[in-house]
Amino acid sequence: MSVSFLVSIFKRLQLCGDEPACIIEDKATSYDSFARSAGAIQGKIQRTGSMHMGIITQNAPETYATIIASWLTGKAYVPIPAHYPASRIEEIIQSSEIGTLFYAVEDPEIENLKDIFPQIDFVNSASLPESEIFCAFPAEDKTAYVLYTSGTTGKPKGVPITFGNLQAFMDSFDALEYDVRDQDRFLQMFDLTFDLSVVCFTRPLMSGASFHTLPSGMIKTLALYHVLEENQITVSLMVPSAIGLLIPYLEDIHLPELRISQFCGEALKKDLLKKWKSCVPNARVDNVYGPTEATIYCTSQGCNAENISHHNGVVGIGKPMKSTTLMLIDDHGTPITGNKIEGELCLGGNQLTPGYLNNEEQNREKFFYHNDCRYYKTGDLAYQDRNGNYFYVGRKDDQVKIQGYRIELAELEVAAGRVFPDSPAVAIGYQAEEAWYLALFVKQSSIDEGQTQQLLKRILPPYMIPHRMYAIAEIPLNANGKTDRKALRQIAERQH
Amino acid sequence: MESSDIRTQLSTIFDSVFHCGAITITDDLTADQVEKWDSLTHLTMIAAVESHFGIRFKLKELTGMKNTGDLITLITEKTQVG
Repeated sequence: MSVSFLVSIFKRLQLCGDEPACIIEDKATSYDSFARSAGAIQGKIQRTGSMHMGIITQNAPETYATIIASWLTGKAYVPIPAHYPASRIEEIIQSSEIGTLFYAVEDPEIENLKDIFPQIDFVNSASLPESEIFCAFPAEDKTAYVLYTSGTTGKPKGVPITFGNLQAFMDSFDALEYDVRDQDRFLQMFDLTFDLSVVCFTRPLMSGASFHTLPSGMIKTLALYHVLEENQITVSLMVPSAIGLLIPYLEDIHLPELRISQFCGEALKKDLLKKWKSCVPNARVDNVYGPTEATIYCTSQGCNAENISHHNGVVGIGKPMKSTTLMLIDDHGTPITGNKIEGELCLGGNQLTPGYLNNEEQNREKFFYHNDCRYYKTGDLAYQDRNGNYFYVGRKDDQVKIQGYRIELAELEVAAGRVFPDSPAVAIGYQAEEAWYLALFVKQSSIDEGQTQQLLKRILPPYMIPHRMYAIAEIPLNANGKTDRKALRQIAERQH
Repeated sequence: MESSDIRTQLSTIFDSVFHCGAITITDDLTADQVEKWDSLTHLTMIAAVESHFGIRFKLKELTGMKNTGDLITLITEKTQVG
């Protein structure tokens, strides 16, 4: 059985000619040009043995053409930011068994990587000989991409998503009846390591529409507003904090062209939603939810009604989309039902990953079967109301979201343990002025923030580097003798 | 207000937001050159500038700002008007 979303893209690449496929750094790339680029890259991919194509995440049309070329050749892509620490890149290369790394633009970071990884075949995707584009019609169980998320043991976890998972997502997306048109202009504001990016460039290419990335060299939040307005974006998917930072200026924002405005990746507050709705008078606004393991997002809550139901001011995550089943379980793993009874949210259905790459321990811990259906334990606590809508309540563990990025505090603490081998360290997430921040407390008499940041940057990706660091005489303990994270959170909020 | 006065005051604001120490405020200073200058801290810095100088920027003015020189020009214009 073939994956129809990929066939749609293949057809559009052959038919859409001079129409823009993407606008990157204010420059349009036509479908024709995109197809020529993808064809040339396919020629190279065919000659590589590995099933996973490493892609350096540069803001260039060839980066996206490499993703589509990998898919059309029946292979998966693995995004790798060049500025990640070498140790992190090495873990990803080894875990995904990557032999070839594609990049689009020569720069010093690429040269540096070539020196560090001499065994890898580095390929400039912009300088390959022309080759005819083709579609290998990959099977549904083949991997389409592997993304790495923060892991509690200090190592990132590889999440493979299959072509079948992605097809199930696209079926669910279309069941929401957004009616995507070839004239639509999609916003693509995400780093390619973030799975929300996948729908932002894939869905427009399926319909002959275009996607628009944020220009480099601008403050990201301002670049976001710039692209939304200047490019007259019609479909946007954003994390709420991107808009939250613009709250003082929301009265300056008027986007009548925006017809679909989705939020994902973080709790959406009803007050922010209300203000945003006045900026987008013609938009259908939806709050969508889902972890990487369940392919992009898998629940949806319409937000256009006057009175949106919420939990403590946070908009609900709605109902499961077409390809997903939801279930709540108690601490013993027993399914629970009932109005407003809290439990851990578990996800099942065709969007669910086959399981973490080479990580049987986590697979045993996070996935289980119930009535012959496989489920994933999200770690998110939720409840269902009488109308069948789900509401996010909080986390079961110490995972936090910073600007949509999922961070296991334990991973940051393991890294801090390498920097301060003799001093206990505790990481916390805290909120201030509509944004989430990371803070690190180290049991020491003093701390050099700048030097510590530099050392942590050799171990962790930039989004995991704490915004603030504090030396503390004693790590506070709660009544149960455990680290009192609440007390530390209050210190961080006070001192922000 | 003189541009040199604005630079001195900006240096204090930048240090309080970016924790960068007393840096020299040049016209071509940009986010790339300051370690903690990102989306979060940029908008915190802008809010601090607005509060300190008693002015208000428009979003279009913020997106048009290419470097610290542009920020100083805007502060100069707005404090003169005020």
